[in-house]
Amino acid sequence: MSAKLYNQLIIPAADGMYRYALSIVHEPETARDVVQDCLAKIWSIRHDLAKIEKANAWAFRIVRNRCIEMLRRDRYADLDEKVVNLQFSGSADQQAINDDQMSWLYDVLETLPAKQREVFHLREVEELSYQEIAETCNLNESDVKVNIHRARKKVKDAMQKIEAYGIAN
Amino acid sequence: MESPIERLIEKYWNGETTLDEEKKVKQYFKTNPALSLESEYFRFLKKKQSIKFDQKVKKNSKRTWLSAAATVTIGLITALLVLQEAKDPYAIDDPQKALEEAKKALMMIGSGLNDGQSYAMELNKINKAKEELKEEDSEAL
Repeated sequence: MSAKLYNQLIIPAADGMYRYALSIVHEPETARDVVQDCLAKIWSIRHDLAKIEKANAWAFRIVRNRCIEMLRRDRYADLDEKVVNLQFSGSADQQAINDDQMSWLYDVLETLPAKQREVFHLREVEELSYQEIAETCNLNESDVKVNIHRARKKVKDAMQKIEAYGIAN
Repeated sequence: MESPIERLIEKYWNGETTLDEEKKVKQYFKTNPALSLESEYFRFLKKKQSIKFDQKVKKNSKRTWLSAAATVTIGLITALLVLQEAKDPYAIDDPQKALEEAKKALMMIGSGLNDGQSYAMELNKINKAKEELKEEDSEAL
């Protein structure tokens, strides 16, 4: 039964878990390690899966915690600090997407604070509800809404600048 | 007058859309691709969604090659060593010749032993003479 639940709830979430991990650690190999670790951990506690209400958000939270652990282990004291300080080259994502035309979007996302970028990813790519995002990131729902709105506004502003002057910044 | 989809898109940028409405906006841009930046943005999100978790990791491909190369090298060295050991440079294939060689070798050992024995006989003689002298000495005392 628990193995069945694992296959039903967790395996389909693995792609999203990987993308989320990648959005935090930026390295495909590290993101893969994170997901492997999380899948192993979830498998070991699969008997508790029946009690979990929102498996998606729950699995994402496990991914987030593991990412923070990994980043801390790499002597980065704080996730936000790490993500802010990290040169968001987007190389990993760019490799996956491989589209030069979209470089302006990477430039815009680079300027977003870590929290905004994280919330933006969970909403726009993983299509999580405000409540699920709030649970995943330890925020309240209104914070999530505000962060998503700000992130979108920055993207929209950049678009308008490009349309008006040909450059984003 | 704004069309319903335009209103929805505006709502989206203001951060006021529900998940379902956002899906509608995304669907609209998917079915109506344009050369606009807005369209590009939604294509970007779509592409991000297409990134998959690949369990059959390619990350160790370098390591796999190295370990394969190491295995082959070890295998070759072992095979070479085994073959060399099997091929004794002093081996004689012809049994007749081998018998003669063996006899020769045994004769050599035999003659060596004989030589040794003759030296031992001489030593015995000397020892006997020494004993006799000792006995004579003690008698004289």
